[in-house]
Amino acid sequence: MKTTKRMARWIASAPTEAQRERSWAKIRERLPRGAAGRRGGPAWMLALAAAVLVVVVPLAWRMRAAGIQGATLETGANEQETLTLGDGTRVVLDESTRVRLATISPAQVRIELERGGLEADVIHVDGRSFVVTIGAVDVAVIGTRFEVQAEGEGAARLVHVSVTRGRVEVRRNGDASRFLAPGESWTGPLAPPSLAPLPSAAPRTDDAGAARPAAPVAPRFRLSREFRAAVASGRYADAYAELGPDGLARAAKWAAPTDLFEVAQVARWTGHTREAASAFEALAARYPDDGRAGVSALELGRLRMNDLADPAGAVSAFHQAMLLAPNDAFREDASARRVQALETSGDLAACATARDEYLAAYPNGTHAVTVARRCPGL
Amino acid sequence: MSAPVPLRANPVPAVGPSDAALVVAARAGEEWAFEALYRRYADMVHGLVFRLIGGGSDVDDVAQDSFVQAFRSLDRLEDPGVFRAWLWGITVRTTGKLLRRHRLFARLGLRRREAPVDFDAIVGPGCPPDVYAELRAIYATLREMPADVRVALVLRRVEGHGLDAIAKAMGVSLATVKRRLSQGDALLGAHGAGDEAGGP
Repeated sequence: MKTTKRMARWIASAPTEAQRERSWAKIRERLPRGAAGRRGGPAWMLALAAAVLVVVVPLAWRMRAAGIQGATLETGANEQETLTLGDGTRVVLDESTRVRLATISPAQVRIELERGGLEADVIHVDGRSFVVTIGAVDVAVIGTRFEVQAEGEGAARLVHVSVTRGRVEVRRNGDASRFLAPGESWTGPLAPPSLAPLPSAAPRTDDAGAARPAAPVAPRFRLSREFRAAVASGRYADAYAELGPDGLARAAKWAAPTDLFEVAQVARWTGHTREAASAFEALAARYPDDGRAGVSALELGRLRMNDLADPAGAVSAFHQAMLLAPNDAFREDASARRVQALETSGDLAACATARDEYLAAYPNGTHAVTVARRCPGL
Repeated sequence: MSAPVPLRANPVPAVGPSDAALVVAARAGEEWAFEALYRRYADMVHGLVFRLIGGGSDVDDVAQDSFVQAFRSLDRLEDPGVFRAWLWGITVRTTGKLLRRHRLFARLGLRRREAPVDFDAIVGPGCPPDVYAELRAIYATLREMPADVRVALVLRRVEGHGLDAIAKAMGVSLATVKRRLSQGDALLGAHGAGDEAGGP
């Protein structure tokens, strides 16, 4: 192989200063809301629009069905894709999801879910069936809104179906069909063997045959599509309202770390400071091994320090952030903030000790000059 | 912490906050830290997108999208010290996504087929003739390639990255990268270009 590193330099392109400034101005408008005045509104909507894959299927049906048939769509981490059919049916792919458009015809739409999950809002069309296939399980729908998720790994993989509106028929090789109504859900093994489905924690009406003595699936907390759409478009108040009156408490108890962190952020952005603090606190306590635990503890400390007039609580949170820190730079930041919190709380002796510990550990640290001025007189 | 810091237009200052420190500050909502990270890596991201796409009007947008995607995902970056490599991977995937989308839309008749890359407009002056010939052959063939093959080929033959790094950036296995490179080599061969890019 040639020394190809040298080849890139012949097609090196650096933005001009004018391009650089224009680009930064555009990026700045789309920064995460924690930075510089929590930006939202049209710029975020444009960002969402740019990120969303919209396939207008009527054209595909009439003109180029073969072009889309068999296509695979895939989302990466932290990505969602929306597939919009011509009749208004929308299929939102969760992050890290892969689907194959197995059949796209006037008589049938069949989507094979290979990985991840999707949420579908299906418009009923006479003479057309809409089926999501996952392993040996078919979920057939008629004018319905529902979610399908693949969970677990290998032989233990499960499929989880929940229905928001309409009616869904779940078929699995060798099993009788079962129908789900709004509010009902079903969880069962993905593999075709004649295992009965596991009982779901959500209400069900037609659970006959689901007698397998298995550990119950924990109540699921999933952020709704409306919540995610509201966040993506910067409508944080709408997102917070979407959680409902007990949404934050349920999230603190049941949500996965990704969702819990999102809920905490939305609570913070909408001025629900105490609720945000409780969500960050829950995340750090429930998921100490998660990558967000340290950030959550740090955010908890910042809220207590800056918004809740609780410097003593902030000291505790910053200490936790130091313990959960994913790396040394993070630990240094938490350590410096702890010194500040101790000073504000009036515990000057402890402040001086923490200050000296910081300066010993980070003599050239980012905050060294500021920290050295803390706890004067000691 | 909120006071702006002096910024340099070009990347990787000899002194100044480390990437890790900037990432921590950015996570805490400090806008100056986002700006510092942008200015530090604007050339890297812009150049990579430019070479993957072959120039054109999408370069700025994809570079911006890559930064926005990275900044919005900072909480997921477990080690702030590896921000550069992480951003590089995001840029690769963001560009690949755009190329896949363009190709799909073109197949559906919703977008015109990609125009050939104007190679003479993108190659720098003084390019040695052998390098010129090889790059010209690559860029003449790119639009014929599936997006994932194209990305793998440019990362390997133009950017000069190892197979492991390419696999990691594209989120696929080593075997998949090798297969894509073989596909790319075959297409290059069909267009009369050399095939010396492939193996590890």
